[in-house]
Amino acid sequence: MATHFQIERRDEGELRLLALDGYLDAHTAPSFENAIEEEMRSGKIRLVVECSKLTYISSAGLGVFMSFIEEIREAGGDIKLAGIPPKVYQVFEVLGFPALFDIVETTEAAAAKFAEGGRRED
Amino acid sequence: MRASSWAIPLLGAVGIGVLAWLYPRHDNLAVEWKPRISRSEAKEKARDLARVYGVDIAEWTTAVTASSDETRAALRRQFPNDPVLMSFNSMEVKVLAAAPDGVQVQVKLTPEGRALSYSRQDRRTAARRDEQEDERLGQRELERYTGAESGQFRKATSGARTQEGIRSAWEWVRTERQGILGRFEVVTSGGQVVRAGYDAEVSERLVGRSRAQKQDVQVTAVVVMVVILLGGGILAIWTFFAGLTRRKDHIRFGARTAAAAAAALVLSHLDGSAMSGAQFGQLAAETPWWLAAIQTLLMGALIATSTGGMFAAGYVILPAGERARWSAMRLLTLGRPARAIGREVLLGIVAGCGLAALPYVAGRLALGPGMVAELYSPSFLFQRAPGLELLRVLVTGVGSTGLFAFFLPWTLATITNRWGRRLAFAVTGTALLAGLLLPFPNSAGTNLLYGALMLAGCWMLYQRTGVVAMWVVWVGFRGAIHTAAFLTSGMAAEAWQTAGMLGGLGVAAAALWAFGVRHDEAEVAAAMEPQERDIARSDRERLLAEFSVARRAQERLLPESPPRIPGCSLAAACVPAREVGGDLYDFVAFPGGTWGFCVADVSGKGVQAALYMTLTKGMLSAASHRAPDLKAIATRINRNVVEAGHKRTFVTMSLGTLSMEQDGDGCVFRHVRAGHNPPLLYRAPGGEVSYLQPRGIGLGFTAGPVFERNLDVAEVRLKPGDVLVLYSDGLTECMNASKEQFGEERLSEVVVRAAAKDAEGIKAEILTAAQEFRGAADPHDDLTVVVLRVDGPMT
Repeated sequence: MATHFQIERRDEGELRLLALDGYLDAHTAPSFENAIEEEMRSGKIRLVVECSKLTYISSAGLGVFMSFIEEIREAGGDIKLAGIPPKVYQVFEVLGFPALFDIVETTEAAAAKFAEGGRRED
Repeated sequence: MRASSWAIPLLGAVGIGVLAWLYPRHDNLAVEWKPRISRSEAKEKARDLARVYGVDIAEWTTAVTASSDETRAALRRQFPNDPVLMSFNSMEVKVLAAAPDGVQVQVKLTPEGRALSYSRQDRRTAARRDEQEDERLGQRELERYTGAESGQFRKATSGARTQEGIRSAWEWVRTERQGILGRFEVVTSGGQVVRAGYDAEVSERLVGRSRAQKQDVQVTAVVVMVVILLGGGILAIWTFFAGLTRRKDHIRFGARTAAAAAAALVLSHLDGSAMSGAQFGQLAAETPWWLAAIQTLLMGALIATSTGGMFAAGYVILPAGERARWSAMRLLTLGRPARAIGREVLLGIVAGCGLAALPYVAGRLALGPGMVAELYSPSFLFQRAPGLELLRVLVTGVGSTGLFAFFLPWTLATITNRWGRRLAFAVTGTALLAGLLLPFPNSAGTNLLYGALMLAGCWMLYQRTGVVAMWVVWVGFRGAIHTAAFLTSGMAAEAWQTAGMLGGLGVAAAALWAFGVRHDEAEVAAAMEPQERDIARSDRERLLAEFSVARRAQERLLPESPPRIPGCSLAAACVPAREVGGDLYDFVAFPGGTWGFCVADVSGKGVQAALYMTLTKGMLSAASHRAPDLKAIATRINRNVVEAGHKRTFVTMSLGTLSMEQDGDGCVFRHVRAGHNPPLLYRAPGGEVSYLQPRGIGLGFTAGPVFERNLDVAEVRLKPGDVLVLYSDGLTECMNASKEQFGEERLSEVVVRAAAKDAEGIKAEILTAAQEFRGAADPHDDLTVVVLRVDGPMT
């Protein structure tokens, strides 16, 4: 079953923006994983993942966030999540993501968070 | 015993009842042929007749066969009042006797036992030159064979000299109907009758017309059968050999199946019929008995091999989902006297007896009360040992058996479109079953109706039993019809023998069912996995095989039954999705009477998830020796999961404890939620529903203090009537065909509706609701539910 999933990538000032669109599940997670890996290889470690068009996320999709976060943070970067629709946010919330990631309303807010300095690992 | 185990005998009994009602009215044997002599009577009649001609065949090798003449049957239907045609049944009983010195006698009888012809073959005798026709002898013979009608005959040939002897002939010519004529001939040599016979001669003009009617249906049937059987055979052979590139264990499977078939074949020849070669329709007196036996058995071995090959070809491509239907067959090839084999054999035979009513039901429905069905050539009436012949069906029924043993697995493995697959199976199955017996030579539609009914019946049986039942079902089918035939023909002894054979098999199967070895379904499924030495497979296939091993191992990790907690009822279920997944539930007895409950879900699928699940289960069990400190347990498991390495795989867990409080009447439920779906809490008096959602992060994300700091323990005091439901996202995210999710709201509604029931009842309602909601959509995730209900005060 082919599910719709697209990633739009662009620079947003200092930051790299990855806008997710569609259905992030076990079938589409690898393409998301590749995207983050590419960004990291080209030295872009200040990432904002924009989720306003994300319609569904499965555990495989959530796993992608976790698999890179440590490495990115060690290198001084971060992944911040922006614009998560309420239904998808529920999934993040149930899993306890708010304790692990900065989750904000807009990309501007994400930029502001980056400006505050690296996330304190608490 | 499962409900279906009762349904089959019940339907079987109904079928037998219907058969008993329809058979005497509609089978050709009861309606037209009406045989009235048994094998021993036929032999006696032949012996008496031969004695009149001075030949004693009492000690000779004899064989009795019967045949029916289609053309004559059609003519009889066309000219029902013709006295000549009415003197002949379309069925004839033939007694062959052979002396060791090469002399052979053949006697033909009508089904009532009236002599039709006699002939003696003896190469040594020849007509002597000086012989004269014996007028008185000729007249005597004419009367012997034509009885009261002898006055109608006029002499046509007088004392003609031939190779055999002196031949005379009489004819019954009738002016009212041209083209049908009765003819009697007698040949004498040395004052002895060597040949005498009464027959009807019909002109080609009349024969041709009736022949044409039948041919269309029969020729079509023959063509279809050749296409299906030849095509299926080639496909099976190809599949068998193609399978060799992947595994080898199907060779042994096929060989053992062939051995079982061969054993049945040898048993079926215990009556000695192999020695006479009689089942090939001729009696070769000059062939030594041992050569005839070898010929028969070699022929049988060839067919037994094809039966084995057919099963092996089906086995090698058998999809994992179909294995449960083959476990009895697997046990059979392993030589294990398992109950499952007894069950399938018994139910197969019983169902087969019932299914025997279907040709008559189909005929009655399509053709009405006047229909006549013709199932088997009448030869079976004169077998040496009527019951034994049924075992031969296990070997000769390779076509009908192959439908389920090979063609079904083949469609499952090859045709990916579900409807295409069903269509292919339905069309081929209907055509095959209709064409193999062809009970209605005149009506293609009625045959197809019978084929479709039979296929439906077999399918229902197969769904409730397995492939062994589909093998023996034809023994029951044939046995029931044979018994009915013997009973309507007044051959009580033969009827008893046949019914006794069926009954004996049934009793043996029932005994096996009751006292046989219990088998472990998982072990048998594992036995269907090729062993390492048997495989030569692609990595992908090896992985798939490993998955299914892991899946089974995993299912066994789940508790067999929930613990008994005074004052509470507890129920749990895990409905696995197709792949290896990672749902887990468990109960832990902590010291001091506290019970722990856990539902966990490992992200992702596959071997990785399975390993994590096993890990989690182990860590949970280890926790049971310590104090029921939920935070400490969860933190420890989290650390272990993080250390296991792979951050993409994580575990969510709902972990709760139930303990009695010293002071009050209630009990306290404490709960941590490591990223798992919030448990549902139903409060009894008011019926309000809430979801317990204390903070908590999934296990395996981070080993830092952030995990422990974000983990809250929720505490609720439970009163009688309160219900707690722990579940995995497989329940709330259960999707229907239009991609809607079951969701928390529907779950709440179900629990409110079912809250008065005990935990088992509530669990059942939840599962049913989810199942109904999902409909035909594929389950994409494991679904786990644990229900706890406080029924009364905890004591």
